[in-house]
Amino acid sequence: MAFNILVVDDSLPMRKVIKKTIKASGFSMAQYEEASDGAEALKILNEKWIDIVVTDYNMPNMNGLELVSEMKKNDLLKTIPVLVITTEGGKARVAEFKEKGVSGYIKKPFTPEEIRLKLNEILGDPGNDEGTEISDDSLDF
Amino acid sequence: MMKELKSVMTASISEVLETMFYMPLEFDEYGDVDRLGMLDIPDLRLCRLEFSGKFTGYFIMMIPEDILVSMASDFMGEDRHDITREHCDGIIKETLNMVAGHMFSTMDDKSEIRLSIPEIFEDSKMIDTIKSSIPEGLVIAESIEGYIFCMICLND
Repeated sequence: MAFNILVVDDSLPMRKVIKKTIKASGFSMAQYEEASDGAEALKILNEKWIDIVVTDYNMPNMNGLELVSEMKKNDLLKTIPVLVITTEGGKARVAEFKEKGVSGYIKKPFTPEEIRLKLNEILGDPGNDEGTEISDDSLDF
Repeated sequence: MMKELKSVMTASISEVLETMFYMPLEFDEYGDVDRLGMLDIPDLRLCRLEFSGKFTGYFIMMIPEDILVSMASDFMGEDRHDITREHCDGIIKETLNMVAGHMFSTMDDKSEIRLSIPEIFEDSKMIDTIKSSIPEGLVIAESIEGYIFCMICLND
């Protein structure tokens, strides 16, 4: 199955690396979209069908958590899984992510393998055509 | 306190640079800024990030553009000739952001320290200031391609 993926990060190099990592992980991208902050991401989400959002936390204008909050207010967007990639991995911050309903988080610096595993948990194994059902346990923080 | 911060910052620089950029580093604990030729490095890019919470202050990271080009090239898997100033600035901002985030989450998992958005800045007097009085929070890392400098300063 091919997914429409939205990568949100204010760093151009980081967006490129995340895109390459997702491709290298074996996930088939039907459409790839990118935004440099939460506000730009919301605009794209309101215009295009997106299956998963991979977002940075610390961004200008609207950060990753504010983006998730806005998505949760919108019936059409609230069920889209969000993976947060962040430098801020303190317990308080992680609890905040969980409370806001993000599907998972990865702490920077990350390895490509970590992204692959987390996407597997959320979207299912790309090697398995039948996909994987997401259980509560798989949304592991 | 500064000694502890410097020690954790050194570990975080090492972790971030090795994990994200496959860049092994050596640290010169007693490095003299002049001896290391800091003033002779052309196109030194400076990036600043502020933090607040349990500790309040700022970081300054200084990396020669030539090293940033290599980092960006390796990081993105693109030819050196295709690397732009925007890529280099993105790399130094991201590196400093990761070092700061890694450092504070390593130090204390419970306290919340807020990080600002990293910003590129230019300050020709900065190097002279550092030269005249080497800051306590300065860490000098040596890579195969040259030196990387990172400094933490606490507000009074």
